[in-house]
Amino acid sequence: MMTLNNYLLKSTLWTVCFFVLWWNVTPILMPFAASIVSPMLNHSFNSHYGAQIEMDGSEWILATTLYLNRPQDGRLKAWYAKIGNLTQYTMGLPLLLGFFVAVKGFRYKHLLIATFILSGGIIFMMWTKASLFIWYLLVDNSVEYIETYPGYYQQVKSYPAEVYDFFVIIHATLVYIFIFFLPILLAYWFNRDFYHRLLTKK
Amino acid sequence: MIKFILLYFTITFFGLGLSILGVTNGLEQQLSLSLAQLSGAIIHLFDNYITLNQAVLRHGTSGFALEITTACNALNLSWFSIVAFGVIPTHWKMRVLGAFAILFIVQTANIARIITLFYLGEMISTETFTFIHEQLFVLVFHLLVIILFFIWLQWLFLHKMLHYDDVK
Repeated sequence: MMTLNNYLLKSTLWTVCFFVLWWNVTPILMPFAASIVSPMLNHSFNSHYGAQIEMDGSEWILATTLYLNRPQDGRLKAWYAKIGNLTQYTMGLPLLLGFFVAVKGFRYKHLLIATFILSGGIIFMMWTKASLFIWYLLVDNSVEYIETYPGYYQQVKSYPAEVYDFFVIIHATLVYIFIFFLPILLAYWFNRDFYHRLLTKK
Repeated sequence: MIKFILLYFTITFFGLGLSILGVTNGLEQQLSLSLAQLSGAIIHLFDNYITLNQAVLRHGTSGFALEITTACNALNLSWFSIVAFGVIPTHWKMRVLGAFAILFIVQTANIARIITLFYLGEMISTETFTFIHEQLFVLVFHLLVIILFFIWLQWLFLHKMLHYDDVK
């Protein structure tokens, strides 16, 4: 019978191993994630906003066709935003794998499902992060025009600042939940009997 | 279990909301300043070459400086941990005790992190420092809280202060 101390020690060691592995695959993982998030952004916003994620090392750059000034001002500038390094968003993966693999008799099928759920959540978080950057410009008329075709400008819809603030808070809460709370919750959910025995016996 | 998750999400959401909307700015700045002062005082016990200017720790010999900003005070992690310990369906006394204990442990570990980063920063490259600061320590803190949470849960179960039916 495994004791809690044994389990925690084993989980920690596995988590460290998966952390090293995760850190080494991050240069492949992040551009791959960007290639999924880019079409999601174009689908969710007006595709003419041209939200395209480009990589600069490990940093994400958002390229759009949103314009910061009125066309007649003659000072049009396509908007590029530095989203930054989103590697931290994927930090829940080594935690999930470490705590799952340390479970005695865990099922690979369950591990795959849990990893799939967490990965889906991470992609969703990245999409909301990039979306918030676009929304920020659309709040209270910060951006007024968008070039939908070469030389053709269309007025954009603006969002109230309160709606934006609300989504920023939702996003921040979910990020913490996905990198900290959900990995352990998933490991627990798929191995409830094991955890029950572990926690209720000395 | 669902009740626990919903309660956890709602409370953390409101706490984080206050922080993002700037309601807790004063508290966060004061906490960062206190952490810098406390870390500086601890370093002073074994190293006299350190100077403290507001929330900036600077080493007199190497010139390396570390600013303790509001992002360094581990307030968000503390909040998420306090709520996790506070929503466990047990006696109120145990909830409060657990929440205070985890707050104390997280902040003590944070001071240790600041001191470690201060000395590491003098010795290692910026890339390595960023990795340790932004990735490694995040993992260490998460592991610390999760391990303590499991130990606390087991203690509550063994002392009959928590029943499996309440959390399954």
